[in-house]
Amino acid sequence: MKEYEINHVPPSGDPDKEGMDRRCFMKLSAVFAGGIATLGSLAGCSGNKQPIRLPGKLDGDGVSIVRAGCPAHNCGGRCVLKLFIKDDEIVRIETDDRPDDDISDPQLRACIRGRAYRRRQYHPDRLKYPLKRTGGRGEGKFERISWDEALDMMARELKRVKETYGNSAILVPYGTGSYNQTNGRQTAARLMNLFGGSLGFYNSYSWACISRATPYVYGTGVTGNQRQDWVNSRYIIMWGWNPAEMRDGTNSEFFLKKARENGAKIICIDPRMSMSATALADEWIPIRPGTDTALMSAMAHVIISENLHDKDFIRRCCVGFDKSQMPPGCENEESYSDYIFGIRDGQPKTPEWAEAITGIPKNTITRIAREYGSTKPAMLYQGYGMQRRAYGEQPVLGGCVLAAITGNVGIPGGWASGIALQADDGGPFWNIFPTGRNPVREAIPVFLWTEAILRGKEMGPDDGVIGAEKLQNNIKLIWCVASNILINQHADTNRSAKILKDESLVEFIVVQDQFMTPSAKYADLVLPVCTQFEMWGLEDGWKYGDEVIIMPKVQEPPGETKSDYQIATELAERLGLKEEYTLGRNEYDWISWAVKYYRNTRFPDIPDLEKLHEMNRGVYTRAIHEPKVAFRDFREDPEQYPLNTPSGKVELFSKTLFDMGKPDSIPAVPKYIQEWESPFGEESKKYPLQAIGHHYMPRVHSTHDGIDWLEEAFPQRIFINPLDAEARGIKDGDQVLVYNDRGKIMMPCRITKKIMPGVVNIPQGAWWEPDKNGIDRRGNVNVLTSHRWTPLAFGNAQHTIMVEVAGRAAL
Amino acid sequence: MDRQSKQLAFYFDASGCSGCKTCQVACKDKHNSPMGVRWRRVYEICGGDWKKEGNAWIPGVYAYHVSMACNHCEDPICMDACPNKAIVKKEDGVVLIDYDRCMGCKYCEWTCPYGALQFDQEKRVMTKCTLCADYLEDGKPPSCVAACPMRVLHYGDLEELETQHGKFNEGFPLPKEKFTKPALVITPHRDAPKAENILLQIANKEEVKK
Amino acid sequence: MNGNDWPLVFFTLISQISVGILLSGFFLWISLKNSDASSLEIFKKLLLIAGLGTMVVALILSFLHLANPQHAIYAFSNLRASWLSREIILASMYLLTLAICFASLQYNIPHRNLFGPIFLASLIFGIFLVWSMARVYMIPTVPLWNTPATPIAFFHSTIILGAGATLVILSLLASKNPDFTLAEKMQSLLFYLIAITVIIGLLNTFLLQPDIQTLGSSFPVPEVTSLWKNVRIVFLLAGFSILTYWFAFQLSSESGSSSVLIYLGTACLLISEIAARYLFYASYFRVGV
Ligand SMILES: Nc1nc2c(c(=O)[nH]1)N[C@H]1C(S)=C(S)[C@@H](COP(=O)(O)OP(=O)(O)OC[C@H]3O[C@@H](n4cnc5c(=O)[nH]c(N)nc54)[C@H](O)[C@@H]3O)O[C@H]1N2
Ligand SMILES: Nc1nc2c(c(=O)[nH]1)N[C@H]1C(S)=C(S)[C@@H](COP(=O)(O)OP(=O)(O)OC[C@H]3O[C@@H](n4cnc5c(=O)[nH]c(N)nc54)[C@H](O)[C@@H]3O)O[C@H]1N2
Ligand code: SF4
Ligand code: SF4
Ligand code: SF4
Ligand code: SF4
Ligand code: SF4
Ligand SMILES: [Mo]
Repeated sequence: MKEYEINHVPPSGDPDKEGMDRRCFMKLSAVFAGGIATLGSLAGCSGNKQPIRLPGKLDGDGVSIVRAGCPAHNCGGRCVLKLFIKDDEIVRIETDDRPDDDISDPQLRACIRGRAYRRRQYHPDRLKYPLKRTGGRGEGKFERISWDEALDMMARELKRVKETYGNSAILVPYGTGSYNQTNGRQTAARLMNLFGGSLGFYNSYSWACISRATPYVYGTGVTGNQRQDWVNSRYIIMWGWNPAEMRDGTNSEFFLKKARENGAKIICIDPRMSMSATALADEWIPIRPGTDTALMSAMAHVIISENLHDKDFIRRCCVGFDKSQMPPGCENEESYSDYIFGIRDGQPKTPEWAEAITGIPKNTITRIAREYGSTKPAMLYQGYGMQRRAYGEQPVLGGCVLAAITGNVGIPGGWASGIALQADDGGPFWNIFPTGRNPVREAIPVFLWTEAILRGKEMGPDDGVIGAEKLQNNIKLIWCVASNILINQHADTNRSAKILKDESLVEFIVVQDQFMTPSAKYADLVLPVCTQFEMWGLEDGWKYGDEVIIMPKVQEPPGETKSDYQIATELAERLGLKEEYTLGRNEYDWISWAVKYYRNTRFPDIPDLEKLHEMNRGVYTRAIHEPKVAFRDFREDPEQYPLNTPSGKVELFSKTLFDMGKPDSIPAVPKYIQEWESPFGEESKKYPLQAIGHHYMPRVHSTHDGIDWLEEAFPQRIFINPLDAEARGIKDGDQVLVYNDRGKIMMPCRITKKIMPGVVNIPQGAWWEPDKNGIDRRGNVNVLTSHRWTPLAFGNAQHTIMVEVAGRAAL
Repeated sequence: MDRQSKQLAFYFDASGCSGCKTCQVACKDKHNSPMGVRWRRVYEICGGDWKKEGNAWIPGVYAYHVSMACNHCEDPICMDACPNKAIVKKEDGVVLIDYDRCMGCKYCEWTCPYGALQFDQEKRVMTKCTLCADYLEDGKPPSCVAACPMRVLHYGDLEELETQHGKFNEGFPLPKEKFTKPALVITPHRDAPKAENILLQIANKEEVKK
Repeated sequence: MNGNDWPLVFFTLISQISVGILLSGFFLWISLKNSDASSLEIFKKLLLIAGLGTMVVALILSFLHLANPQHAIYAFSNLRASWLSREIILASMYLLTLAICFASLQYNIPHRNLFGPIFLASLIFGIFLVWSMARVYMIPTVPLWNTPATPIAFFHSTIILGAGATLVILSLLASKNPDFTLAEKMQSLLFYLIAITVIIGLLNTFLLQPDIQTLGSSFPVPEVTSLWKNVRIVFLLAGFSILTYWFAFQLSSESGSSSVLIYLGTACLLISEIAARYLFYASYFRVGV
């Protein structure tokens, strides 16, 4: 390390005078103890000339700097990291250092996880060798085997299951660990499709309800403007939306800050005072979880009764608002206004009514309704947490409808709500590695895979099966790549564990990961994968953005780790599919190909991979000066640019939903429906607290759990309101038992006023760590979550649960 | 003590800090700080009360974050305390610790009202933020400043920052400026003035303690 | 209290004992100036050995407390501003002069006649040492320490423990040395000294404590267990009562004093002072964060 020279002059000035003062002060000492005084003044006077070593100073010799995409792992952002590499080791991580002058193309600044990545990359627990199970499933006993042995075994099992049951008995489950193209589940999906296919699935754990429900209103999921438009908004509702923590596209929080600087008022509706509520909002409005549609309805009640709705837009562009607008065949059904004013059910959806349900004071409801109804343009942005709930479709529809009746659709600064993929083209692709067509046509809703293990052959359309009347098989082989869904991320962990433990159900399980995750512990074969820094990759934005980020290989894979692509290739060889699988390409070739793919689609000007790498910016971006606005054409001329809905208009009442004939769970207009586990239900007597599990800053789901710097910054805690804690004799920091009929967690608590009374939060994604009594010691909320799915989207309702918390005193 | 002709300083806009702690980890990564050593820390401040009125919950909750490192004070109490003259102030105002002089008595740690001084068990010396003096020399911004996703952390000449953003460097949980004259400019969060009439507290003690 | 502070509890107390012994010696010396010099000689030596010994122990303790002792050579660098620097140099001066003092008495180096002035110098260093030690803790950002109560408490410990230690030495000497006629007189003098100090100490404890509530703090002011507070007061009163009992007994009885009571009383005082010093460190909190 080069020493850093400074001349440390004390602030008072003259260094030569320094020694003098000292001697004056201690004349006595000079008289009596010349020796020590001399020593003292020697030390004192001479000291100030020596150089100070600066900690953290990197010796430039042999350090190379590579800008690369953050491994990301489906984190909600996509950022640039600046890697300092020395002797094949990353010694420092910084972030995007391009100019950051305006919002047309801001820096893609990394979050805490990207900045702490060295602690994951060089973590001692990284898997290094293939492992074969030795004990019972889930016991976590393994022995090291060779790659040949591992891959031969896997090829053998694949062939056996294919022959015995057929391809639809194979599942490559949901897995979001990597979207860098050559790592991640897509590599396995491609091989399985060449091998004859595997059981298909649709939906995601992220967006099941919002992606399914939005098109019933708008005929598309592309309902969002480009984010540079947000500064044009005057009023923004962050509804269960927490971009400061989950990012929702790198820089979303920054764009909101800019919007606020530009004069927008921002409010946040969330049971928790989230990081976004503190940093971005002018006001936080706590809401009882699962009651958003009640609030939306009451807001509509105020807006319509006070005549604040956009009558022109409703008349020209919507159907189903009132009885004058009902679709043919439904003239006598309940319109949106009918519901709001209680024409059929006798209950007008007034603020008083909603106050009792949501816990929000009626005056507040009236006020925000007026604000949203009268401030133009306004954005109502929906997060995804509130649709990962029972009847999670309803708040999605409700938000869309509110946006429509206030006429905030198709205008700059407005926002149509719904899933809001970015206009015009739907935004980033995420995965472009070609997986090919799956020869197995039947597909299940992604959340129902455990059902397909237990009773696949009985599953049909009622269980959301598409592509066939019934499944042909129960799932018999699972090849789990870049996923912790088997145990950790799926609902009801104890149930999942029990199902997987039973070797007569799933006969062979392979988990391919970088760590021995709770899911990997349930594998028969564990294959070690290198990280995204150890092979070539590429990614684009998360939901929003106009960029391509390259991920050069900066380091050799450690131990015997291989990329997912490499593993699939070697397996393909054993299955006789290598040529078709690789098309003669290695990882770099595929990334080269991917860049060209972007050139042919979103970015005609993007240079070749070679050039991109040489430029060493890590990213190719297209600056946005004139942000696109969704539904602009439609708003101007709905006849010429109709929507892709049956009526061609915005459907406040959906005949398609109506025709499903399940008005209690799938109403044709958005309605508040009491959740199946609710503080208003019988179950609340036993389990009085609502528990949510939000997406936590230090992790991407279960990825990054146990990384020391991140745990230091954000320890895993159950967050509980002081009123609830006090009632249970709980003190801040206490170990508490959290439980319901599905399981138990013992973990430390954090008492915080930033959560509504009656609600607790156990940030989702902590690694399940059952002790010998089956009590989870780490705090995985899925121990408590329910496997029940939502009625329309067959989506995961993991945030809808009731629990009880017991303090030490009660134990 | 009079102001030096040059005095570098941090600017922190508390109104927009999310508490994401990217700054904290950016610093740890740059300096390879061991666990427990956080030259930059983020305090979560919270206060207020919940009231139930009929069916409604009235939230009177206030919260904000304060990201804090060493403030390279104009009147550094730490420097006066250190018997070894291991703490020095450069011409540009940056206060540094000379590891080759520090005897690890930890006395200075008692004095700093910003919690900036943190003992490094591995290096066996007192350590603290250097304002990334090496980066400044190379014309680069400090690591934490360049890291902040909300762009609420900046650095610059104290006087210029004060002209730009006003002179404010106090507010809960920070001490009155008189103790050390911190080279710091803060834009307070909207909830910060509420410290006057409600009991605010550091809510994340375990995350900022030594 | 931080576990790291235990060496400091003992460093400060033991060095204060050392200074206290010297002070008590000086006090006796001037009070009994015209008395039998030869029997004083051995007592003087004993006191010097005790003073030296305790100070050496104290310094070793303080040294062990350092993470980087090899850099202690710089510890005198900041006499201009740092009370700690001053404390360290005063401690060194004190020890050095004390050693010379002893050498002059024992080995006639530099010379016996110089004993007086050197002893005086040593005493002055010692008093300044206690003063600087107190000033070290009077940190503007540490409100509970930054009060006159701190130096008062430090001098309180110095005198009470010094006198106690001297009393113990005296009793040991007297028990071995029945012709040491001055013992009784000296013991009385020391008892008065202790009595006055105890009263000052109690006043300091009860009157000079700042109101923690009004100081305000971001982190909670550490809660010191009432156990320690009780130990402090109970042992102070117990020690003092025992010594008073002994003193009264000695006045009334012919058969000489019972040394056991002295040892017991002094031990109680020592425990009380350790508790007090523990409480002192435990009360640390600073303004800000
Ligand atoms: N740091 C971090 N960022 C991430 C991820 C991560 O794991 N960590 N994951 C990424 C992925 S894959 C996804 S899908 C997204 C998920 O993004 P979201 O689903 O939007 O995130 P959540 O934290 O589940 O929920 C957002 C907010 O909704 C609130 N909420 C919960 N229930 C309700 C309710 O009933 N009503 C209302 N109004 N609010 C409610 C929560 O308190 C939370 O603050 O995040 C992405 N970003
Ligand atoms: N209770 C509750 N549960 C939830 C949610 C919730 O809000 N609440 N959110 C849901 C949501 S939105 C999602 S998206 C899912 C996410 O669930 P998963 O898709 O399972 O995501 P992770 O838990 O991050 O697991 C990813 C795994 O991939 C591994 N990995 C990372 N990179 C690579 C790689 O390059 N190759 C390979 N082979 N492995 C890699 C990581 O080590 C990690 O073990 O969780 C869902 N589960
Ligand atoms: S937001 Fe995602 S891509 Fe960006 S730094 Fe964080 S983890 Fe990496
Ligand atoms: S990085 Fe910025 S927003 Fe995040 S905690 Fe630090 S100062 Fe606050
Ligand atoms: S903040 Fe603390 S450590 Fe930094 S200069 Fe000021 S007093 Fe010293
Ligand atoms: S710990 Fe080091 S820097 Fe601090 S006072 Fe002691 S010698 Fe000085
Ligand atoms: S300026 Fe540098 S040393 Fe100081 S807190 Fe920021 S990153 Fe750390
Ligand atoms: Mo997700």
